[in-house]
Amino acid sequence: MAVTRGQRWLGLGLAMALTWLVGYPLLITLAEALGLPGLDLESFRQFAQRPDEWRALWQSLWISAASVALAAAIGIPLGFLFSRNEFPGRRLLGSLVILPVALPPLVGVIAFLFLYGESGLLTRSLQLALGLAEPPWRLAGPGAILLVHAYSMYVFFYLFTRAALARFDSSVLEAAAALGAGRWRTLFKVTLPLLVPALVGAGLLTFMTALGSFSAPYLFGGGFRVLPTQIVASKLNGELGMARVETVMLAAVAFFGLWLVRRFDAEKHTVAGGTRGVAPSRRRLRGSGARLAAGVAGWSLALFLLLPHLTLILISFVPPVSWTTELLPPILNTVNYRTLLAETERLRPVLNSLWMAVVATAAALTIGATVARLSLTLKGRLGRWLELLLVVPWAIPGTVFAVALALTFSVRAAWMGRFVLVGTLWILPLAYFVRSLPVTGRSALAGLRQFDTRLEEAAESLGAGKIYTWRRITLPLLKPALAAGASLAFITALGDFVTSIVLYTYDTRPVSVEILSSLRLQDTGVAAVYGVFLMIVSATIFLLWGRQEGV
Amino acid sequence: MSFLDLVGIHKRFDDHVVLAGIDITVEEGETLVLLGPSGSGKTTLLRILAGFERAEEGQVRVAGEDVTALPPARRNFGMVFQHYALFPHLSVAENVAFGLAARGTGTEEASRRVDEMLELVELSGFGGRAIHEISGGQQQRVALARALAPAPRVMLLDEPLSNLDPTLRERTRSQLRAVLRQVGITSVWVTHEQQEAFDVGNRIALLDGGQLQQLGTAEDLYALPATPFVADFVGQAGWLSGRAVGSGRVDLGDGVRWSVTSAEGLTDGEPVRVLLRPEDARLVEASEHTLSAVVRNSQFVGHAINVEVETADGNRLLVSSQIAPEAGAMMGVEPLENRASPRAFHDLAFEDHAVQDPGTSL
Repeated sequence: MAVTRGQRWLGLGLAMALTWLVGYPLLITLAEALGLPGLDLESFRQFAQRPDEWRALWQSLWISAASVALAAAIGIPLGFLFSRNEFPGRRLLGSLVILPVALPPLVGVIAFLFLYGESGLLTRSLQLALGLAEPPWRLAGPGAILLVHAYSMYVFFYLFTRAALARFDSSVLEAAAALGAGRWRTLFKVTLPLLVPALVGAGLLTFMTALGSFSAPYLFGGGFRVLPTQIVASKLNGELGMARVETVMLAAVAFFGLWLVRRFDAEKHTVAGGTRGVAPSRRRLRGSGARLAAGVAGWSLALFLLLPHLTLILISFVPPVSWTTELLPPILNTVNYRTLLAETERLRPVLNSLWMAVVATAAALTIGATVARLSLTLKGRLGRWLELLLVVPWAIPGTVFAVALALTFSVRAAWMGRFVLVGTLWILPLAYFVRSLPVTGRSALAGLRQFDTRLEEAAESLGAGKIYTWRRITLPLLKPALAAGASLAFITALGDFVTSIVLYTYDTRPVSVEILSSLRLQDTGVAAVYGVFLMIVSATIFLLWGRQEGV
Repeated sequence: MSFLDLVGIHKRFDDHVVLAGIDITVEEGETLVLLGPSGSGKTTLLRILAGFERAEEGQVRVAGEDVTALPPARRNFGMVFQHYALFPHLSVAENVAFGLAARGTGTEEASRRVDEMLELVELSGFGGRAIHEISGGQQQRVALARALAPAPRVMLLDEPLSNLDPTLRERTRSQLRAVLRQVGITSVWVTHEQQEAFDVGNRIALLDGGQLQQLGTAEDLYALPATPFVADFVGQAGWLSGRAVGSGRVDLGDGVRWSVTSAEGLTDGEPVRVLLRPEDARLVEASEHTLSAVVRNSQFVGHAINVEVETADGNRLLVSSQIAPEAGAMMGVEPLENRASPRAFHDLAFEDHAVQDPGTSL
C-alpha cells in the first residue's frame, strides 16, 4: 500500500518524540560526564584511578557471565525434559516453570530473604535441627546474587531450548540413527550443534538481564558492588560526576551487548533457518520406576520453585513481633492485611503502583503498536530509525535510564527540550513508559510481521471502511501479541524497583519502595503482604495473557 | 457497449515503468484474462483496477462512471486473492457474510445470502467450519463466495489457482469458470498460465514489459499472433530466417520458397523471421524443393511425436510427426496447406526479443 503524507508526518513526529525521551537523556548524561561544553575528564580520571570502580565493573561482568552459565545449566536440561518426555503433571509443571520470569525481581529477592536469609525459614530449621549456635550460612555476597539470578533467569534458556526443539526436524535424528550414531553421539554431534543459535540467543538475553539486575545486588550485595548498585551508591554519596561516569560505562557495556545481539540476530536467519519438519514426539516414560522418578523429580522441582513464594505468603500472615525463636510462627492471622487496608498511607503505594502502571502500559501499548506499524510501512531510513527506537531501550539497564532521566529532567531549559519533571507526579509513569515501550513495541512488531496485510485489502475490497477493518480484522488478529506485550509491560511497571528507587517522590512512592522501607522498619509482615500483592497480580496477568508470544 | 474501461493506464515504481499506457475494454458478463510472464505488470494492473494502487495517468471506468479516484471499499468490486486472504479468525459463514455486514445488510437477509452463496460454490453445510478445517480447494471456493456475496459489479481474480496442487487445479478451474458464467459477472482474471487463460477467458490480454502485446480470443492469439513475443508465449513456436518475396512469400534460401501469412505488410527483399508451429508442418524425404534439416531429437507427447530438427543456418524447429526418425537423419520440412503458420514478421521485431530455444520451451 502506498504511504500517505499523514503517515510520514506521524512517523516523523513520533520519531522525534521518542528520540527526545529515549536517546536524548542518554546523550545528556554522556555530555555531562564529559563536562561539555568544555571538556573536563576529571571524573573519568578518578574512575580510572579508583580500584573500587574497576572492581565494580569487573564484578558486573563476571556475575553476568556466571549467571549465564548457571541459568544454562538449569534451563537447558529442563527444556529437554519437558520437550522430550511425557510424565504425570507435565503440563501444570510446565506453567510453573516459567513463572519466575514474570515475578518482580524485588519480590523474588525478599522471598529468598524470608526463606534462606539469616533468620529465614529454612536457615532457622537447619540451625535448630543441627543445634548450631550460628546460622549455617549467610545469604550475602556474590553467592546470594547468583542464587537469585539462576532462579529467575534459567527461564530464558528453558524457553529458547523448548522453542528450538519444537522447530526441530525429527528426520535429522532418524538420519543420524540410520547412520549408526548412538544416543549420546547424536546429542553431542547433531542436536546440540543445531541448538547453538537458540542457546546463544538465550545466553545474550541472560547476560543483558543480569548486567542490569539491581534488586539482588542491592539487597544481598553488601560490600560487593556491581555497576548498577555502585551508581546508586555514588548518587547517594553526592558524587554526581562519578555516578555519571559509571552510568556511561554501564551503558557502554550494554550497548556492546546489544550490538552483539543485533549482529547475531541478523546472522541467525541464514544459519538456523531451513529446518522445517515434524518435531520428535514426546517419549512416554515406561516402567513405574522411571515414571516415579520423573514424578518425584518434577514435583521436587515445583516445590523448590514455589517454596520462596509459599514462604512469602506464610510470612504475610505472621503478626508483628510474634515470631522470635520458634521453628514455625506460633500465631497466624490477617492482621497485616487489615493494617494495610485500614491505613491510607500504607494503601497509597498500592494505588500509586496501579495507576502508574496502567497509564504507562496504556501509553506504551498505543505508541508501541503505532510505531511498530509505521516502522514496517515507512521502511527507508525513518522506518529503520523507528524500529531502532523501539528495540534499543530494551538493552539499557534500568539504572542507566533512571539516572539519565533524573539528570535530563531536573533542569529547566525549555529551549533545549529539558523540563523539571523530577519530583513531580509524572516522572515515574514516564520512566515506566520508556522502559515498557520496547516490551510492547517488540511484541507488536512480532505480531505485525506475521500479520498478512492482504487481509486488510480483502476487507476493503468487500466494502469495509478503515475503522471497520481495524475493528473486525486487524485488532482481533493482533490481540494475542498486543495482550502479551501489554501484560509483560504492566507486570514490569507494577513491580519496578530499579528506576523507582532513583526517581520516586514520597507522594508517588510505589509498592517496591514501600517494601524496602517496611523491611527497614522490621515490618516484615507488611512487606510480605505487599510482596504477595505483586506476586499474585503479576502471576495472574502473566498466566492469562502473557504467554501468547512463546518466548 | 463496453462495461469496464481501462484508458491509458501509466504506472511507475520509482524510475521503473510498470505499465506504459494500457487500454483495455471488457464487455458486460465477459471474463477477460490478463496473461503474461512475471513482471509483465498484470498484477499491478489488477491492483489498479481494485483501487489498491493508483496509476499516475489514466482512467478506470465502470458502466460510464469514472472510479479512478474511489477507494477500494467504495468501488463495489469483488476480489479473489492469490492466497485467498480468508480471515483466519472467522468461520466460513462469517467470512462470506463479511462484505454484507460491512455494508450494513440485515442479519436475516445476510444469512439467506450466505446460504445462497455457499450453495452456489457447493459448500452448503460448511458454514460453521473454521478456515483451517477445510481443504485448499474449498478455501478457494469460500474466497469466491465471499467476493460474490455483496453482488459486486466486477470480479477480480489474482492468480486464483496458483496455490493449488496440479490435480486440484483443473477441477477448481472449471468450477470457478462455471460459477462466474452462472452469475454472469464481468470478470478480470490474472494468470501466467496459457492453458488456464485459454480455458477461462472469453478474451485474453497478453502483457509483456508493461505493454499490451495483443488483445483477442485464444484462437486469435494462437493463430494470428501480433508479435513474435505472443507467438512464443502462446503455444510452441519454431523460427526460420529468410527474405520476403513480394508481400506473401518468403525465400528461405537454396531456392526454397513458402507462402506465408503476415499482418505487417512485407516489403520485397526485406529480411524476415518466419514462425512455424509444430502441427502446421510435416517431415518428408529431403529434396531440392523442401527445406532440409537434420533430426536432433524426438519426444513422444502422446498424440504425436515432436521432432526437433536443425536447419543448415542453425535454426531449430519442432515438427509434429507420427514416426520418430533417427537422430542425425537429413529430412525435408514442408508446411501444410491452409494453416495459420508459416507466418512472417519483420526481422527488426526480433531486435529486442530473444527467441526461445525450442529445446527448452518443451
